[in-house]
Amino acid sequence: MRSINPIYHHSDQMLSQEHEWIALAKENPKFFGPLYEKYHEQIFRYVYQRMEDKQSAYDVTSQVFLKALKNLNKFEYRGVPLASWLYRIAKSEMNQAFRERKAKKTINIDNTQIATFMEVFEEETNSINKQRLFKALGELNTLDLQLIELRYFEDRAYREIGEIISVKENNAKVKTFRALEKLKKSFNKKLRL
Amino acid sequence: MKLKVVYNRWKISSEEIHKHQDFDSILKYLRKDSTIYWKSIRFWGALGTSAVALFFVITQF
Repeated sequence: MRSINPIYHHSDQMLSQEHEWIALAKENPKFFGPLYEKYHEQIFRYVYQRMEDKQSAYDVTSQVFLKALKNLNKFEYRGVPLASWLYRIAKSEMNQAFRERKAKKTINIDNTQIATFMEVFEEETNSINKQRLFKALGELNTLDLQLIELRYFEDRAYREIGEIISVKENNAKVKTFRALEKLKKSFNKKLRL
Repeated sequence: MKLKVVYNRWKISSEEIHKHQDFDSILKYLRKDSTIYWKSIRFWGALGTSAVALFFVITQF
């Protein structure tokens, strides 16, 4: 069974507490402190999953919070955790770092994740299939890769994925399924060659 | 964009990530950025336009 990210999935009480912190931080940035402490690790892990080196990931994470504070007055509370907004800022900051060549776009994958894909593709986990999977992942477009990473590498629920990429939960499910189909097709194409 | 695949990377502990938390330096940069705004072309452009507009209003009435 898929685990639920306890930091992301908030009760109404937690959401209203967060809303209160945001309102206070709009008046005085120092009140953003509890939100920074709450989300720093989560955002860092999201960034580091997609970057090659640790220092660049720490730098981008700091930029995310700086940008969030600068634009906090533009933030509109829509009943979802602040994290979804922070993820969108993180994505844009990472893209900027990639464009400026300060960092290299990376896919981090481990044995467990490879085994999951092999199970889905009904293939054996061996070094040849591993290489085929790496190549197939590299052929996905940015959005499809993001969906695969969010769902299969980071184990996120469709509701959370939807909030991160700004679509409804059902739409996130459909898009993720299509991305997986594309990955499977690309993976099998390598076999035929 | 070319992607690099990193396989079985060592996981960073929560303790290590927490050690890198530095909200004070974020606040410091934020303050520095607000100071920079006073020196920006946008600020002086807006101020200049307002001054010219005010001058016309005063001379007209």
